[in-house]
Amino acid sequence: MSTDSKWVLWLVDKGDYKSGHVAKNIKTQEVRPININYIKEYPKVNSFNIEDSNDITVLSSNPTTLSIRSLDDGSIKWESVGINNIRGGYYKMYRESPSSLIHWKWEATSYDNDSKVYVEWDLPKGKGQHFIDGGLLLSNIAADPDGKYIAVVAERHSRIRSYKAEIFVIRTSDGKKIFSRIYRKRNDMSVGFGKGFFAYSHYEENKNEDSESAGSYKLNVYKIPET
Amino acid sequence: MAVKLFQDFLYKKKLFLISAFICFLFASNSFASFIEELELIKSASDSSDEIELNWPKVCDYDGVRITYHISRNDFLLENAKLLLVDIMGGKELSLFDFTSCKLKDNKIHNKASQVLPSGVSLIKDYNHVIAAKKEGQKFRYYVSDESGEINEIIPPSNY
Repeated sequence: MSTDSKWVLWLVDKGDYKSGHVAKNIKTQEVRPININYIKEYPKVNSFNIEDSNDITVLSSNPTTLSIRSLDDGSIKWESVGINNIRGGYYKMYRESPSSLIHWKWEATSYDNDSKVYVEWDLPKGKGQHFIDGGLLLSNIAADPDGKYIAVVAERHSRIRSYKAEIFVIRTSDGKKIFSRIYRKRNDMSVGFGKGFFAYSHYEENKNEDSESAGSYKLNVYKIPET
Repeated sequence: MAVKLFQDFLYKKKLFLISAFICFLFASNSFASFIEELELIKSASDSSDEIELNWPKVCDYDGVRITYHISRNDFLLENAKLLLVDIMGGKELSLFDFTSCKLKDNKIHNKASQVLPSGVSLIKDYNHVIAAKKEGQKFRYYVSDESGEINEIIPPSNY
């Protein structure tokens, strides 16, 4: 949905690989579907963003391009995306810098060659890739609106091995971890950014045995330095 | 006589199999415990890998969780100084204001809660909510506008 709520867009899988995808718009105020057909230009649409009422950003893996289509006049402009070999996974596109994006994979799958869990980015501040080791899966991810930091929660759920979770923050300019904390008990962590702020929440058991409640959620808020 | 010998043989075989099975259970449990012990020992070294965050902590706030009621590939309110949070164990949604370190008064849960209990939602900012409500095998979609009214939208017919 666009941020002004005027448009909602669905990506419809037609079940025919050769046909690719058809993106359809609904202008919410008119509740009337408008078809936009990407079959010819984009055989495989990976993701799209619709931020306002003017245009849609479409990410395609074949070729790896990012296009911006104007909703008003239908015109298209496109450019190559810095991250090549886009396969499965999820994407975050930055409209302020159209060719920038973050790509990540929640879990390793045996049916493709991409057996690692990772997050990679191509942003004005830097380009890099971070692999998640130790059988951990991504469970939560957030990005700084300025593109300087990415926050990740990775967890391991295993019957044999004990629970482990890590929350960390990566600096996108050099890929360095600037924050890392490891947990051995489940505590339902989440991460989030605001403009100039970073926050994470977690469940904390009540250490006071006399207390009636078992525990509560805590939100920790940090200010991101401007330098 | 031969029948008795055969019955003895079967009995011993059964005993052997049961014993082997019990040993296997013990062994696998011990192995799992052993692995768990190893992990606990390893956790001591984990803590040495931890890195303290060198940013000023602005505040702690109790009783809220950063919401999970969003699409996993959608970053929320990213240009705002507001954060969407769950309160009441996820039953309600609200906005946390980073600058004042408190919840906003104009909560969105009144708009969203009409469709949230049995569905999923994607919230673009505190004025615009899209939510899906599952009815049987089908979803119905709703969008809120700036006035807070929720309208149903009809997706493409083949979706």
